[in-house]
Amino acid sequence: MSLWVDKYRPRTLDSLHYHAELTARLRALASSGDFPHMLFFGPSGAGKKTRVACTLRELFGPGVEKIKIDQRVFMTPSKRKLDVNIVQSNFHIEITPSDVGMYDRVVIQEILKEIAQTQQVDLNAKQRFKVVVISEADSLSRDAQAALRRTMEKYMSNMRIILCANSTSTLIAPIKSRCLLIRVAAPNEDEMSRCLNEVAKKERFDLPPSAAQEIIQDSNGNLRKALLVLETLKMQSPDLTGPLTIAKPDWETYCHKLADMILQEQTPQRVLDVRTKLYELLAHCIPPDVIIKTISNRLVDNVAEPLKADVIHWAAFYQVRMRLGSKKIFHLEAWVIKVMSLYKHFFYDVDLTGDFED
Amino acid sequence: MLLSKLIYGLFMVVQFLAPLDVKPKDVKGKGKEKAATPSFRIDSQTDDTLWVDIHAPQSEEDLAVHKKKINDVRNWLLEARDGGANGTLKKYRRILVLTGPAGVGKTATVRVLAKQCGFAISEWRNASEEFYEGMDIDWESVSQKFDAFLNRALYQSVLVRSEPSNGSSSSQSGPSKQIVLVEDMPNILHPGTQSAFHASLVAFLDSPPVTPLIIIVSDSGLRGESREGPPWHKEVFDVRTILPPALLQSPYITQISFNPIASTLMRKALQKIVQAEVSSGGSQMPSKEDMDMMIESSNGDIRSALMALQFASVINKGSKEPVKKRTRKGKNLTVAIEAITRREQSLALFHLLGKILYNKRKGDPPNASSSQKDREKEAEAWAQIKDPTPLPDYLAGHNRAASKVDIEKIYADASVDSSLFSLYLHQNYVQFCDNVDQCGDVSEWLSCVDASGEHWWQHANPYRFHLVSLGVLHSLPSPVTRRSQKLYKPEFFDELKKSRECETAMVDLRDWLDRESLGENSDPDGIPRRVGGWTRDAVVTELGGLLNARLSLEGMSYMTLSPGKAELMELPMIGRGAPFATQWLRMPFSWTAGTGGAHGREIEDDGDIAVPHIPSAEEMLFTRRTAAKEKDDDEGGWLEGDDIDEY
Repeated sequence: MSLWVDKYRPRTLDSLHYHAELTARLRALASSGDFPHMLFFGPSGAGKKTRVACTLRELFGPGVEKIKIDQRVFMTPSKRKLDVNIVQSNFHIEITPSDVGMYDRVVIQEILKEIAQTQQVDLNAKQRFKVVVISEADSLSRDAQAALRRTMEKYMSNMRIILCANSTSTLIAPIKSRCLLIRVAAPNEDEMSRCLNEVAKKERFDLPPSAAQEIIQDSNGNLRKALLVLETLKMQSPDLTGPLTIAKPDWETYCHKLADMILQEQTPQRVLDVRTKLYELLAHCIPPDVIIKTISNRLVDNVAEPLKADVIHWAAFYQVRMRLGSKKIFHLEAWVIKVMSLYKHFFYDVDLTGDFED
Repeated sequence: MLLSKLIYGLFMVVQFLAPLDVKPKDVKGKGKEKAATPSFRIDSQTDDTLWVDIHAPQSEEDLAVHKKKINDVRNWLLEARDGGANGTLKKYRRILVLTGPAGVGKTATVRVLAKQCGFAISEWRNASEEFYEGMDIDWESVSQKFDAFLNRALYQSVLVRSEPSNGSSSSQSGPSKQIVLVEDMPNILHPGTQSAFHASLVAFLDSPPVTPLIIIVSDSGLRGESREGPPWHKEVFDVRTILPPALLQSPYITQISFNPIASTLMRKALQKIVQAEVSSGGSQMPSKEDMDMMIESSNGDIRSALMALQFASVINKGSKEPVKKRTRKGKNLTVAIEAITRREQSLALFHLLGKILYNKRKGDPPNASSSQKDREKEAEAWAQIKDPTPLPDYLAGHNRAASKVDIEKIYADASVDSSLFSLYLHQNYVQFCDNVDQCGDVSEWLSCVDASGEHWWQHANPYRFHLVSLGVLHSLPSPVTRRSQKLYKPEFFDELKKSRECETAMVDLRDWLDRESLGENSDPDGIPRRVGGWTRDAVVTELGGLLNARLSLEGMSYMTLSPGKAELMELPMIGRGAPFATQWLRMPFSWTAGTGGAHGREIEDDGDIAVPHIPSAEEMLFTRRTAAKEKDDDEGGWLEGDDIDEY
């Protein structure tokens, strides 16, 4: 099974469709021989990993695409054995911290040490160093980040690190300062429609502008999502004309229904109802950040003007709590109740906003 | 506290002496109890033996254990001896695990029934490690000794019985049949010893079924914040640590869990013992109130109740004062006994939650059903509690009447740690609120405390328990509206389990996508794998729609695919193995779940602290891999329970 989003992904820097200036800079960096540690960040679906892959190819040539999976065993401090699949080529190695869970420090340390201690033996290799790609770097634990920070300096001679993250806010400052920060912004509408049309051309069909427009509106700057939706739509109605209905994913409709529940009624019983729904979402592995974001967007669309700011303010407030704490449901629920009580008081025209301390 | 330390210290000493210790024939073999003897010898005229030892149950009638449990154990023993109705069960009666709180008669039951069924007990005792400077050739570790012990025990009944050597002691010789009793575990919390122990057990199961093995595990309750320690500090000592995970489900292992002793059974047993003591002239009859108090505070632990009883009679004798006379001193005595004998875990969870959630404060309207006398008593109690100084005007909204709840006391008696406690509160608080604003205040406190401190256990906020309790008390309405609220267990753990399952399925899907793009099944034009593969979040939030569309184009709804069968099919648009991987898609959202009244399960038992075992993500990963591996092997595993009889 190949998805269009994988099939038509640009593989070299030359074939990238947008952010030409960034592309030029990456090319210059790759050819300079003085390649720094890098941190790619930007919204999801903006093309961070595509750019990382292209840069790797620029650095090492097509050999970097020959990938193998090794199963490795790591030992945790509690002497538990940890099986981890490591994806690597001759020139780079990939780590996804969320696959390793709470032991990411051990795994990262081991891998980095190992790479740092081995020299590139292939005399024809274009570069003397190997690259470690850490995707989803924002989920690295503090421990692992601290472990990274020292190694980054120490083993600069034969190793470079490329981090990939949605936001830099969870990374500690020492790491940020050791990396070249590269922001990959979401593509704008023109750029997205160019990409969609390109894919349509390669798949040999015509993409009506109205359909393209609709997909772009729906995907909100996420090119990956746009391409997935395009493929889905094409499958469901091959001619892509007439009024299109882009089916929302189940979880999104669920979140919207949940938002409507919050506004319908504000009673303790409703709190219980909302809680079971929140549990259901969490049980389906929908990231809590996404839940709070989706619900609050829906709420903002439906509440009166003066309340909009409050809804977002408290969403941000409890999102921080969620990061600090361990039981997501507490914070989601606290936020929902906060919104309920704000809404209720607004509705009955009792102004309590002065009462809420920050 | 001090007392328990003292006992513990002596326990250590006795442990050290254990190999030298020659046991009298029928004494209940617990070092702990014997150790306590000298420290309680207040009166030199008193017999220096403990009542728990003197009155150890000799026959089935003496046991204060529920009949059903006795029967379960007896059946097991008989089946181990004779092989049940058609003689085939013997093969499966290899290891019996008895669990339950301390002092509910697990060991006593085994001893009594073993005698009844004609088994001799051969018991493992931990010897102290001998350490020599340098490497001694003859030195063997405790785990080696244990292994040797098990082996010896296995063949002892076949071969001529040898003298028990260091590390083991057998109580009597005579009956030809033997069982092995392991109560004093080797240090399981040490990973090396644990794996050696597990290996011994596995080897034991592999050997011919001659001698059954009984393992007794006393539940050690969760206490304090130990669960928040570093993850490798696994302090929970339970069946899961003692038995290797692979064996837990095997038919060779039977598990019987004992409950705390019911108060009626305990009263009967205690009265019998007291009668015996009184008739022998040793002591006086304690008052009914004292008995009640001891039974209540022992929380189903008959050993502790018996200790308290003996202690009380010793004090009474010392004070040379008739017990019947309820003077002020008598009251003090009750208080003293209560303070000394009360088990730490005795504030049951149910009770604890009630105390917080009913939020009783000074000046609450009295209970409609309470008698005049109770009301007076209450008023008297209230008079002793000072009113708090009123707050300044700008804080007037936070004025509350004095609370009846003493946080420090509750904290000292609480049987759960703050994290679990907050989950229980979270599950139940909503029913006690009258409007959304109160809910908001409570949930704000829960959220605030959960986010306080840091993840690291060293930095964890030590005042979480207090903050949660006080915060909830402050936010709840006063008085709480009574609408016959029921307390429920947190749904949290169930949901956590569900989300782990979902995660596993999702990771399956993602791994499969990865493999596809890595060339195992990919098309010849060779699309390189995306760097880092698909992220979990992208799979969860974005990929579902497309995969569903593809599946439905294949002409079948994903709901109709059964995982086992579907794996064999090849779907041209998705590829091989896809239906297996898309198991994740078959987890639909339910909109109706749980909306009807019942949120979670009710708390059934007072002592029931439910911390189900939630496999961590890593464990799930592990079991999944091993499951996949096992699938490749032949179907040679354990027999299912249903097959046993036919075998």
